[in-house]
Amino acid sequence: MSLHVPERDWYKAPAGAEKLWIGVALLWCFVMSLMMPYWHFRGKQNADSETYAVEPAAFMERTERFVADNRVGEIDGVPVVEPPPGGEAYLLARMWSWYPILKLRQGETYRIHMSSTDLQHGFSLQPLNINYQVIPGYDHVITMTAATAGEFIIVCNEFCGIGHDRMIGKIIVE
Amino acid sequence: MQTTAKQDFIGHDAAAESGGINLLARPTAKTGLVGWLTTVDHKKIGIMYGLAAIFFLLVGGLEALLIRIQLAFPNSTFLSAEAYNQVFTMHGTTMIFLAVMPLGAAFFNYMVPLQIGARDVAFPRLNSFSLWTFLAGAILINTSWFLPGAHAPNIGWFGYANLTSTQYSPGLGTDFWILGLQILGVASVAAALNFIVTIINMRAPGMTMMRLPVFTWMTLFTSFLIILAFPAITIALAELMFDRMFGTNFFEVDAGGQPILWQHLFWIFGHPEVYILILPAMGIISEVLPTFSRKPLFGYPIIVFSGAVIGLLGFAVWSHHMFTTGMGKIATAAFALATMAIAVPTGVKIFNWIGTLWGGKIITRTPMLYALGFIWMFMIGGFTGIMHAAAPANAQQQDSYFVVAHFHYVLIGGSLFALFSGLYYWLPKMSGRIASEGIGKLGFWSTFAGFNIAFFPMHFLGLNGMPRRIYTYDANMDWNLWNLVSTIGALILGVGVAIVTLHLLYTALRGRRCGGDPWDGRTLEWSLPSPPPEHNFDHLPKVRSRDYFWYQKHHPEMKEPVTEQDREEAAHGIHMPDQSWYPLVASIGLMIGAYGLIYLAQPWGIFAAIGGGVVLFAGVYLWSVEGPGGYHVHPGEEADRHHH
Repeated sequence: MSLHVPERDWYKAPAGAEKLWIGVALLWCFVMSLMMPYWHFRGKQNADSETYAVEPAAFMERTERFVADNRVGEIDGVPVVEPPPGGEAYLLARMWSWYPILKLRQGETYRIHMSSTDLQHGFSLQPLNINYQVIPGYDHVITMTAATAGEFIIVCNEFCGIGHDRMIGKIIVE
Repeated sequence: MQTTAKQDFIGHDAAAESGGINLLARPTAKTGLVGWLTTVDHKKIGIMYGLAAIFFLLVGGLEALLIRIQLAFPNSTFLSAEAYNQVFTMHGTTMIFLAVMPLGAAFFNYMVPLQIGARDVAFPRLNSFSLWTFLAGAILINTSWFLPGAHAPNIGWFGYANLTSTQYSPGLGTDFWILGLQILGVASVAAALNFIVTIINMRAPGMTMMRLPVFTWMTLFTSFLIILAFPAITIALAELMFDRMFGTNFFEVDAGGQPILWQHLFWIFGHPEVYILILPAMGIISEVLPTFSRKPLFGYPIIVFSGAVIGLLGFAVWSHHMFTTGMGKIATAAFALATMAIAVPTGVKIFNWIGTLWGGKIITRTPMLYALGFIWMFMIGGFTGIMHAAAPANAQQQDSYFVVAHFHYVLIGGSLFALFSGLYYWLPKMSGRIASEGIGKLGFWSTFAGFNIAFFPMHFLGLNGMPRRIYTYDANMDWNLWNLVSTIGALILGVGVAIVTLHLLYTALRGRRCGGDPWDGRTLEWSLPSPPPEHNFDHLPKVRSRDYFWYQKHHPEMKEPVTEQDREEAAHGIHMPDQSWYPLVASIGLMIGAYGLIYLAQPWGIFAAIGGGVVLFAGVYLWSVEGPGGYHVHPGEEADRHHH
């Protein structure tokens, strides 16, 4: 049993439009690839982020000091903290909560330090859907301008065990 | 032009007789339990790989359905958080290591020796060891579901440190995961070495490298990726095992360890691993498309070199899994560039496949439908892959369902559809029976529709911020509709996969009989009867061009005459390797030892660990001294049972 035997000159080398099509496609692939460094240098597309080494206990201490100095209220037992405009803010991830609630002023730029005191978590800001990993031992600093007023939810997007889905925090921009 | 048969250097000489020590007599049964347990025939080993892979595909599919049922509605209580974590971890681990990889290995085993004109792989007993070691790892990791004191791993398939430390994962599940993967790694590396040697050393006369079928080429590249990538995860797993069992501090933050080290080690393995999953698929597609387009493969050398470039670049892109860890701009841009660059050879292949179709006489039999579906869905997965490569976009997609959609398009729409294509394409060769088109097409359309309904909505969910690995979600998140649609799609996909597997099993046992070459194939496996005899080739084929078998069929003047040398070799008989118990013994030793290490806290643990190690080393030692053995087959006559 066999399908069909091709009858006559069934093979043609690529020529004319076929060759052009292949050439253009290949060229476009390279253009797309080179756009990555181009966007990096010209479009400044890659987010500003710095990382420093930090002992979990030291980060805990800095966060507690930050909370004590700038505390403005409390929601459901979690302190609400308003950092000085343009200043440093600390956000601590632990199983399974975000600490504290940050209150930012619209239009101000902040340096937000993020770290974890136990295991790896993920910072995902909703509904903007911007993500950073929060790793114990790493002080991950994001320079961020609070452009839009409103309440933003932080969900944990890096699997951290049984309470992963309930690990929800908040940032308020006024 | 080579004129001598490389394989034929083992003759009826006295040297082979110094057999040595044999505790377990070499079995000779060709059928029955002993025949299968001790076989060194690459075809039987391939079939066992395939059956095991399909079994675990169904297990992993069942786990996927549990996940989708749980997520169908918000605040669902179908599964507990703990059960959900176990199910999604085992789903990923099972599908990657126990379903897609071994299904690829099934084709490596069955098809590569046939495609290169060899009578077996280079190391038949090592091949048997790979199979049994794979099964040992697969069984070990799955027994965690029900063994006393254990639970299934619940750490995610990439087991990020330091969730895996004893502090945060005190149960035995993580130990099962570590040792299971470690054993599976041994199986993969042994098999990969075997295939590299086979492909380089065992080709038929005239089968030069640039005449190899593309599936064989992709097997070669995959094998190199395996031996280069697996050491990284071996090290990572060993470090994690030391942390958990012997109190070291590789990933312990409080003691100065670095959890991020795990991410680097895991992904420098993990990214080549995704090419380990897709390159065999690309090889299958490169066989199926020309056969059913009635044209030779368009741009053969470019497809081969693209495979090599993918393999090389695959080691230079791992940190694109870590764009949001704060690596700094330069590293981010460099990995984004490398990731964009790897899309180039992939795109080149897709254009070559389209070039193969172009102007061809396309015949839409079932294997071809899967191959065409592969091109379309793999391209969607590829496009979203390029979206991830752009680091700022990645910062929005990281760990969201968008990523889940992406890799399922690449792994199901890509790898699995290609493997189904290969199953329908090569089943006639393996079983001598051909699948009916009606049910074959029904299976294709139900998997195709179910798959797209299940996974396309996940793009929307991801862009709406739904994170991975949450066991439930609130109703006010705007995720309800697409989750429900996705679950309905998953159920349809489940029905489709059930149709496909039942249809394939039915065909293998009861299907319509077919000849050796039902598709008018191009490669050497189609020159043999279906299923091929134990020794594969009566006369070693001679190859004078690419697709030589096809030319010989359609140009009678190109038939190779039977030469004097062929007649001499036939009179001499074909040397076949003897079966052996020792690969199985060694694998069982490895498994016992692993159980001992997992249950080290039990009083018997240390004895099992040492005992398993002794069995392993005894097996390997006795295997190495049992001598080559073997017997001669004279085609057309009874096997010559005079052992050396």
